[in-house]
Amino acid sequence: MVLVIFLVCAVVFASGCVSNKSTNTTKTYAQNNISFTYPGSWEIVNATSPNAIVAVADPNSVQNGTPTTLVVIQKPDVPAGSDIDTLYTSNYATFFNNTNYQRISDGNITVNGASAPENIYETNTTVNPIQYSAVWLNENGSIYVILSAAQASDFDNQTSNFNIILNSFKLQ
Amino acid sequence: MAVDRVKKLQGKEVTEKSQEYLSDKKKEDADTVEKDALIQKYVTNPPEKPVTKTGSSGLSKGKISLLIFVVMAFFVGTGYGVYVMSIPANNSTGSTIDVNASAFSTVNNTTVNQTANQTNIIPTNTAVTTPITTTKTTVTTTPSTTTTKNKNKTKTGGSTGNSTKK
Repeated sequence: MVLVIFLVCAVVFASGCVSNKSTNTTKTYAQNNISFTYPGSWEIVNATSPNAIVAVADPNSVQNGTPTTLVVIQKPDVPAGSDIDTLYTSNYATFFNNTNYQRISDGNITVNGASAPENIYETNTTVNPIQYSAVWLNENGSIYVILSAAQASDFDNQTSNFNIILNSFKLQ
Repeated sequence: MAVDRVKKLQGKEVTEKSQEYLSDKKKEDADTVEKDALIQKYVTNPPEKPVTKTGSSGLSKGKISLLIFVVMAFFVGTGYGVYVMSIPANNSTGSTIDVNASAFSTVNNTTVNQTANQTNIIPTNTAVTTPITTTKTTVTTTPSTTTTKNKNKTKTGGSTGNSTKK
């Protein structure tokens, strides 16, 4: 009888450890010549953006069937060795012309010790505007754009999740 | 005493000496032998009861079976849990949620032909496949896309996808 009680307690304790473990892990994406880690609660979603490699999103942020907290990784179709600053400037020279976005900031950040241009903008909607952060990276001559998006009111809270992806992004 | 009673029943004389006789060994031995014989002949012992087997001092079969079942269930459950945890993460895009947010400008390449035909250029502001290189050239040739008739100017912004979630 003592042995039975001990086994039951062991099973209960073990199940608790299993459920507790899954909440603090990260996942790793390693395909298409790139790899990065992202929050364990996020999922890979179907990216239909032009030149998109992969997109991950927080399933808990889905509103009206679409996630509002997400990261899309794009690889523009440009020749190898293209100047990232030139491409960045030319893109955003027209980006805000016929879109519903408004520019918030334009500058450089440091990602893994390297300087990377970043453009932060927001939708023009008054209700639940979405804030974007586009970081352009030059990885061994190949240009990648990591576009992070979240509701403007929640963007600062999601910065840590975005940084998990940014700081772990690398070519395979 | 039992021997004397048997002798009386048989009609044999019961000498008082036999009851008081202790010093004469021969008579005592004969008496003892006779006693034993009579006892064997007339005194019946109750039949011996069969020795019943006592129950086992440990657990019954039912309890043992239950214990074995619990132990097996414990190891099966633990093993399955370890197996599930060891399955590598699924990186395939099994999700049906579409995301079309883009960091690129989406000016349509067909603006180059505007001089010939008044084309209805409809910048969708969403997923139009225009690589950055083509965008760069169109800007120089047709500086104004404002003449376009934006009939279908879609709302961007949350542009985060179409709902096809399962």
